[in-house]
Amino acid sequence: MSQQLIATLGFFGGLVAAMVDGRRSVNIAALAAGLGLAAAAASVGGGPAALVPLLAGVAAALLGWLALRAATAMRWVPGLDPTVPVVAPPAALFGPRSIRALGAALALPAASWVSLNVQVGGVATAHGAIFATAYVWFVGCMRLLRARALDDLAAAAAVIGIAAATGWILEAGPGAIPEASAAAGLAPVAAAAAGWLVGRHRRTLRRPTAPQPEPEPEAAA
Amino acid sequence: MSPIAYAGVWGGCGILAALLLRLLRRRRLVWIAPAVAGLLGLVAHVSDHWPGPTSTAGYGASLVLGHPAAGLLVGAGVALAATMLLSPRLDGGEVVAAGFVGAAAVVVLGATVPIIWSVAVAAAVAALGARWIAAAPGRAALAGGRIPGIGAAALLAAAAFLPGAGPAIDTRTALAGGLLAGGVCAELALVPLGGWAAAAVSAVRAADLAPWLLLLAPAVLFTTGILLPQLPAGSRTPLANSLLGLGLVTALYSGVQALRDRQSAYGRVVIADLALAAAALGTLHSPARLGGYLIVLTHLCAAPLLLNPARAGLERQRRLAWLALASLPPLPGFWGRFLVLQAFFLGGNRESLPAYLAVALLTAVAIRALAGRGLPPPPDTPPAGRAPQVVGWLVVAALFGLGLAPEPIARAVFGVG
Repeated sequence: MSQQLIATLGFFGGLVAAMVDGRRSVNIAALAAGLGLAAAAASVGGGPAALVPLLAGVAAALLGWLALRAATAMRWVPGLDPTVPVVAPPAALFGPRSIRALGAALALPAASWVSLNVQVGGVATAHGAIFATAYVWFVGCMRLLRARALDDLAAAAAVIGIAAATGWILEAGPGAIPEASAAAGLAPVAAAAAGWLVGRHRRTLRRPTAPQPEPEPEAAA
Repeated sequence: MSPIAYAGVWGGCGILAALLLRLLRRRRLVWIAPAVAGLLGLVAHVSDHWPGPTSTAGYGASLVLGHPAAGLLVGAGVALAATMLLSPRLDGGEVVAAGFVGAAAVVVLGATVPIIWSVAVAAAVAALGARWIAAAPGRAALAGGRIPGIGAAALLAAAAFLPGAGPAIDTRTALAGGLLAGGVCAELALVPLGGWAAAAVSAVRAADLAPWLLLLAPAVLFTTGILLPQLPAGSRTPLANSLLGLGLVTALYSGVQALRDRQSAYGRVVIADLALAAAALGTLHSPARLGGYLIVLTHLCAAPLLLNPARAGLERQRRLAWLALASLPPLPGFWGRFLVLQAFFLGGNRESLPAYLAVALLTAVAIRALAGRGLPPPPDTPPAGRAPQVVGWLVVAALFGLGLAPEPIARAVFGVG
């Protein structure tokens, strides 16, 4: 696979991870990062290495969904809603997604610089793979810096975990899959935690509210 | 017990305690979990050779705990338990975060490759960030997730560059050193990346803050002390210089802030002491590591009393704990700072002067707390009962015991003297 195609796949994976919002954002961001970086890992470590980011992304999506379903099915537990912003930002012309789009644009030259100036591992020609990994890592950091709620932090952790795993594979080659899997494991754990918290609150919303008793008419004096 | 099993013990204790004690309606007993997990460190497998996260040959992912690491985990477990026991209020969720951070700290201390080390730091930061946001939602808690999270991301990126970083100073080694410096500074709350910790000291309760202050930050400090001398020169220099410069600035700044703000004075003193220990590591002189160990040990003893808010019934114990933090022999606050000052002295006058000033400021904070009227307890804080008072006296006894016999105690806890 050509390095240009690997870089393009990484770019689109990172772009989706940067822009996605909502209750399933962690799952989608992890899946996009995993799909975008699988080719980069494959270019150095072959098929088994490609499975690390790919399986991490798929496992994150699956575990996030399962945790959400499990939390919704279990009895109601009060707690934290990960999608509610911790601090309400002031109203502004450009919202959080616009700033993330700007960050994703700025990450392009930064990742290009890394891919052109820093050699990772023994393969000096894998510029596309290094670009893809660096771009997704920058996107994860940008999500972390602009995080407003717990699910933003979880999405960032998932994306950075997958990027770090791919970076380690690029550095150490196919022999580094166990350690890379530990880093990629951040993604399913973050997605499961976020899914669990979202599911608890979905249950809260679905619980029918008890009808308020009618006030007793006062006896006529 | 292998280190990985010991990490499982920490995590399992946290989850079990949260579930069982909530069912039994005995949330005040959550302190049992860190105490048990910490004491089980006495049977953990300890190696005489502690490689730290630098042995990159073969990229083995095994965990190896050295004597200082095991000592820190046992001491931090007991200190966390005492902090929870002396806390006026607990909601039961603190122990889950403490368990996760403890498990991650075992991996941080036992990691033999940089990627496992940085993944464990990231996991600990994620657990703490989630807990702080749940317990005290606000800007401070959000920053406590963001900035250490960025630091962990920097450490993860550095891990990819470290194994192949050679002795030559090129882009790659410089980038590895810079990322390491940024990551370590963010985790240890050094200026300009340390505002989150100062805010958390004011916003987050002691039982929630303690896992960072007593476990994660010392674990990062200890492993940085192992990592630093083994790095190639191109990566070592940026990290050592950042730790030295920013650590001294942080120690001075936190010392001044501790003098200004009495409510968060102890938290600022710990941040300043950790920064001083980190700066001493940056001098690359040998007394720095032992000085750091003694500083951490002093705060493991003092934090249970001073990190919690003032309470009726614990005034005398708190005063004595403040006295112990003065940099005067034979008080425990003296020995660690003395060794750290020795490292600065070996580094030259330029480094020594700000370090002396920082130590003087920290002594002034302790004397001010000792001589003043003491902080009144917050209005809704219940007075301490008999058990917390006894624990308070035990903490004071441990502090003064450490001051009178620092060498044997350091040898017993950390295996070094």
